[in-house]
Amino acid sequence: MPRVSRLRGWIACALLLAICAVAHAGGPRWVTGPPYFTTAGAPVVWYTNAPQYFTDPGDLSATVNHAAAEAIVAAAASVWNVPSSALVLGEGGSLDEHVSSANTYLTASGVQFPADVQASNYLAKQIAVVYDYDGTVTDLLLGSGASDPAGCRQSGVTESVDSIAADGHILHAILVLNGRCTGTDPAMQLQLQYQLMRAFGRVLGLSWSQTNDNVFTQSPVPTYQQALHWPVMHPIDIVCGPYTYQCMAQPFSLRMDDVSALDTLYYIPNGTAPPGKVDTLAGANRVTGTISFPTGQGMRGVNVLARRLEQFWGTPEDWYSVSAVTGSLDRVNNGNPVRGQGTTLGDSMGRAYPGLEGLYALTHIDIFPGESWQDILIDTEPVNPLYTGQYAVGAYAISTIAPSGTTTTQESQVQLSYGDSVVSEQPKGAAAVCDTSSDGDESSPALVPTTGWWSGMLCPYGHTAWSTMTVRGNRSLTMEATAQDESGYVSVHKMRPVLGVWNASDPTGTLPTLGAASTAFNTPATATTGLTVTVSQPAALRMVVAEERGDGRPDFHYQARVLYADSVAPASVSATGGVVTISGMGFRPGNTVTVNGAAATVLSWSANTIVATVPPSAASTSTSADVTVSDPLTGGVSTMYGALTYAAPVAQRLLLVSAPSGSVFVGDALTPSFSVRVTQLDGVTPIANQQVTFGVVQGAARFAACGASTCTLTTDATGTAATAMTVLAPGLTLASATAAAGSVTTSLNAQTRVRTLTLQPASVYVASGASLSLALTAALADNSAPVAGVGINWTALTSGISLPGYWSTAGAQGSSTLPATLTMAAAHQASLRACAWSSVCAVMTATSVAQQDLRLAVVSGAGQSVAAGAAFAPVVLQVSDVDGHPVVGADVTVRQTLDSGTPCIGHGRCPLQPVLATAQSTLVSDANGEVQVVPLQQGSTATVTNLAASSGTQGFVSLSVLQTP
Amino acid sequence: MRFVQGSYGLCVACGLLFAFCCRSLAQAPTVAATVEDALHQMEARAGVIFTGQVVAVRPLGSNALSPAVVEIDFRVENAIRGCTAGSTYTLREWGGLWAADGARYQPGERLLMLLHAPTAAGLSSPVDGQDGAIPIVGATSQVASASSVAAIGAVAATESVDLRWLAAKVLRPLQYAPPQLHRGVHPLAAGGLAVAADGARASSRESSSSVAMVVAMLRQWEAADAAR
Repeated sequence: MPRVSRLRGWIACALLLAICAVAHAGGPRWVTGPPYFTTAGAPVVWYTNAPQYFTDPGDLSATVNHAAAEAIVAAAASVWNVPSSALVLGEGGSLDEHVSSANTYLTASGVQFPADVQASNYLAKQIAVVYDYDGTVTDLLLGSGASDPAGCRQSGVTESVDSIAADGHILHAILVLNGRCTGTDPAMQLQLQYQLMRAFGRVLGLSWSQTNDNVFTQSPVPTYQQALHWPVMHPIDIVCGPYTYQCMAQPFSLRMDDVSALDTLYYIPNGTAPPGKVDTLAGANRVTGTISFPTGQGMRGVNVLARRLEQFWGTPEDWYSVSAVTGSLDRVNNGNPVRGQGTTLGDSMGRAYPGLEGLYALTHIDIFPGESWQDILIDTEPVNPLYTGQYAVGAYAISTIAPSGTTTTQESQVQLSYGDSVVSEQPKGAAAVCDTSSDGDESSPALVPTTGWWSGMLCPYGHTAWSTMTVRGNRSLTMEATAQDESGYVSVHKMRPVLGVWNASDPTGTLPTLGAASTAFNTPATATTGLTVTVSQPAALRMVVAEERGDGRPDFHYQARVLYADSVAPASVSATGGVVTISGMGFRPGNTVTVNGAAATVLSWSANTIVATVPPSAASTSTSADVTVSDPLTGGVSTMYGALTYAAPVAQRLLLVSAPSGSVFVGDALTPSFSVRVTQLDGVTPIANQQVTFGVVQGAARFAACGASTCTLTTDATGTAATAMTVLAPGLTLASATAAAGSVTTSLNAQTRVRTLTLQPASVYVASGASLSLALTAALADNSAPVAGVGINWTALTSGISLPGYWSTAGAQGSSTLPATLTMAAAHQASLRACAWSSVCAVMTATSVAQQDLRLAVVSGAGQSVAAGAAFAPVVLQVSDVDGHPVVGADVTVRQTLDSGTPCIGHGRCPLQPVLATAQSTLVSDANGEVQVVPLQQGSTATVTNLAASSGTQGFVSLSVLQTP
Repeated sequence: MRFVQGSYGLCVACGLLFAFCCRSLAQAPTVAATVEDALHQMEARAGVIFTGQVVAVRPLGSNALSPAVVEIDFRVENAIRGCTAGSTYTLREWGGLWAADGARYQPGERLLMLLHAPTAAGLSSPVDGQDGAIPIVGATSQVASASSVAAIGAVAATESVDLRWLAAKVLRPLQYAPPQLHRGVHPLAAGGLAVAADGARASSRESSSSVAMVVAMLRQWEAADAAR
C-alpha cells in the first residue's frame, strides 16, 4: 500500500492550513462569493449557532394532532445536535397562528405568509415550521394537486431558505409539512419525520454527500456496514417500498459523514468548546489536502473519501466514514463572455482562487472508541453523474465532471486526537498539458483556420478562446464546439462549451451582439454546442469558445468548427439547374445542400468545397435562390442568401438529328448514332445543359453513353445529345429520346446476324502430277446479302498449294478472287482456308487423281452431221475420276483422221476410205475438267472425221462427225 | 394520532374507522415497478405536460436576490396536456424555490415538463420537484474526430429523454453482501472505482428513451385519461 503522501513542503502545508483555517472546507450547500456576498469562499451558515424553529400551533392533519406533530418535528431536529458541532438547533416555541390558505396568499410581492412567518422576522423566529393541515399551502406554493398523497416522497416537506444575508449567514427558513402525507399508519409519520430530518440538514446549510454510494447504486452490492455509513444527507433515496426511511439502516441516526459535514460548517476550534460541547477534533482527526493536475492546477469535483485503519490492525474498514468533494469552496459560476456574470444569489457562490480548486477537507473522523490513534486511508472517485441540480454533490451542480487520471490509496498514519493532517495527490495519467498559446484573446483574436476546423483546450481556470474571420453579406454560418476529454473522446462530463459571436468592431467586454449559445449541448450531436448567426453585410467577426461555468482545466478539450458557405460558382445556372461548386469551410462528407429548400445532389466534399448538381428552378422567371449547406449530424447550417441565379426557363423543341432504323442486326453498334438536339422554338438556336433521357420503349437495347438501357445526357453547346446504341434481342425495338421539350422515337427491326464465307470452288480434283493455276473466289454474305469491304485472310494448310498473298478484301460484289497455284503430287490432298470476321471460315481442298483413275467422256459435239460449208461445233470432252468428279489439269491426247465419206453401195466388204488428213493434239482439262476439240473439216465432199481421245491410262473416248456434200 | 371521542354511536365510530382505513390505504404512496410506471404516476398527477425549450427566465419582485415569483417561458414543441404546440407557455414558480438554489432553468435547455396545474393564484412547479423537469439530450455516439468520415458513420442524431432520475424511483429490493476487502487503485476517469458512476452509466443505458416514444406514450395515457 502506498505510504503517506505528506505535504510537498512546508510552504504548501502552510498555504493549505491557512485556507482550511479560513474556510473550514467540507460540503457546504452555499459558499460566499461576489457580487452578492461581502466575503468569498466561506460556507454559508446560520447567523447564530443556536437557530430555533417555531412550529405551527394547529394540528398537522386529521390524524396527527399538534402534540404528535411537535414530537415529529422535535425528533427530526434533535438529530442535528451533536457535541462536536457548535450548532444548537432548538425549539423556540409556536408561531402566532395556524398557517393555512386562509392567511397565506400570493400578492404582487410574492407569497404572503403571516407576519411572524416572514423572513423579516428572522431575529425572533429563524425557522418557521408550518403544519399544512389540508395541503392547501403546499398547493399554493407548488401548484394544484402538489399535496396529493401520491407525491408525498417529494412534497411531504417543502423547504425554503428564504433569506441569506450578504455577510454569508442564513437568516430565515420555512418548512412546510404536508398534512396529507400523514395517516393512521405510523409509518407515514415516520416517513415525514425522515424527510423533515433531511430538510433540516439542508436548512442548516449542508450539501448532499456521496459516501458509500454503492448503497444507492447497488453496484457492488453493499455490506450492511456500508449501509450503516450511508449518510443521512445522501442525495437520492432508495425506493424499496412505500416508505423510503425503511430502506435505510438506522434511518434516524446521523452518520460520521453527516457529523463531519455539520462540523465543517459549525466548527469548534481547539480549546473553545462551550459547556455541553466538545472541540470538533477532540477524539477525532481532520484530513485536508488537494487533488491536482500535473500542471499544478487543482482538480475540482473529485469525491475524496476516508476510511479508518485501527491501530495495529492490517485491514482497514470496508466502508467509508467521511467524504468531501474537492473545490467545494471554489467559484460555482465564474461567468463567461457569452452570458456575462449573473448577479443572483446562485451566481454569487464561491471564490475564484486557485488554491481552492482542488481543495478538500474531511473535518471530523472519529478515532476508534478506546483507541489513542488510528491510520486514515484516502481514496477518490468521481461524483455520480445523477447528482446534479437539486441532487448536486459539490460545486459542479449543472453536471458532474469526470476526473482525470488514476489515483491510489493514500495513507495518513498515526493520527492522534486532534490530529490534523494533509494528504495531497496528483493522479497518475492526469492531463498534464495546458497549452493555449495558439488561442487569440478578445483584443486580438486568432484567425479561424482555413479548413474551418480546429482543436483547443480551455485552461487554466477562466480561459476563453477567441477567433476571427471575414464573411460576406447575406450569409449565415454555424459555429460549433464539441467537448472532448484529454484523450480526444467526446464527453459530456468535461467542459460545457458556450459560444458567442460579435462584429469585430464591437467594443470588447460586451455581451455577444450577433448571437449567443449560452447553454451547452444544444444540438442533437453528443456534447456539441452550436450557434448559427446571420450576417447581412460583409463583416469581420469575433467569436469565442468559453465554458458555461467560466471554468477551465487541462482536461477541458474541444473540437471547434465554423460551417460557412462563402460562394457558389457559377453564380448563374439555367432554369434546369446544373453543376456548381460551393466554396467555404467546415464542410465534411455527409453535408447536404439545398437550393430554396430543394435538395441538390452532392457529388463530392472537401473541407473547403462541395460540388453539387442543383435542381431545376420551379419559377417561371429568372430568380435568385438561397443555397444552404447543412450538417445533419449537428444541425449546423450555412446559407448564402440569394447567391445563385436561375435563368428564366425558355420554350424548347426537341429535334431528331439521326437515329438507326429499319433492319439491323442484334449486337451491332448501330450507325448512325441516336442523336437529338434541343433548340428554342425557332428550331435553330441550341439550348445547352438540357437533360435528355434515352430509353427503350419496346424490345431490348443498350446505349453506349452509359452502358445501360436508360441514359440521361446533357446537351452540349450545340444543344445536341447523342449516343450509339446496340439492339440486344431480335424483333421490333422502339427507342426514344425524351427531354422537357418532348420526345422522339425510332423503330428498328432486329434480326440475329448469320455471316457466311463461301469458297468457289470448294473442292477440286487435279490430275496427279499436274501443276496449274486455279482462280479461287471467296464470297462473303450477311444473311445472304453480299458484304463488301471485309478483309479475307487466306491460309494454305498443306503443301501443293500456294497463293500470291494472304490478305484480300471483298469487292463490291462481296467477293475476292485469288489465283492459287496447285502442284499435285501423286496421292496428295492439298487444302487452303479463307477466313473473314475472324471466325467465319471456309476450306478448299484439291485432291490428286491418279492417271489410272482418269476417265474421259463426251460432253457435247458427238454425232454431228453438217452440210459442206457449215462448221462443226466443238466437241467437248470431260475428264473425271472414277467417281465422276471433274478433274482439272489432266492431259487429254486427241487424234483425228479425216476420211472420205463415199457411200458403200452393194454387198460385201466396202473398200477402205481414203484418209484425207490426220491431226493429233494434247489438251489440258480446265477447271471443269473439260477440253474442247474442233473436228477436222475440209472440202465440199462428204467426209467423216474420226476423233479418238485419251487421258491417263484408262480414259478413252472416240466419236465421228459427218460432212455431207 | 387523533382518536374519535364522544358519544357517537357504534355505527358512526365504525364508519369513521372505515373511512380512516380507506384514507390510510389511499394515502400510502404507491411505488413504481418500472420506469414507465414512474412516468405514468407522474403523468397522472400533472396538469400540464409538454416538451419544449426554455426561452426566457424572469425573476419578478422587488428583491432580485429573492424574487417573489419567477416566470419561465417555454416554447412548446410537443403539447400533451394543458397547452398548445408552437405557443409560449409561461410557468410561474414560487420565488422560494429559487431563493437559495439559484437558476433552476437555463435559456436554451430542452425539457419534458410535467407540471402541476397552476393554482388560482397562478403558481405551479414540476411534479415531484425537479424530477418533473426531465432533460432532453442528444444521442450517444463515440465520435473521436468529428471531421472524419467515421464521424458520419457514428451519426445517431436522435434526441432522447433522460429518464435516469425516474429510474431511481423504481422499486428495488435491498441487498447486503458479506464484508469485503478493499480495493486500492482508483481510475478517476475511466470508472474502475467509479462504483457510483458505473451504476449510473448502466442506469443511463436503460433509462433513456427517444422523445418521440415518450411523447407517444404520454399522449396515449392522456387520451385514456380524457376518455375516462
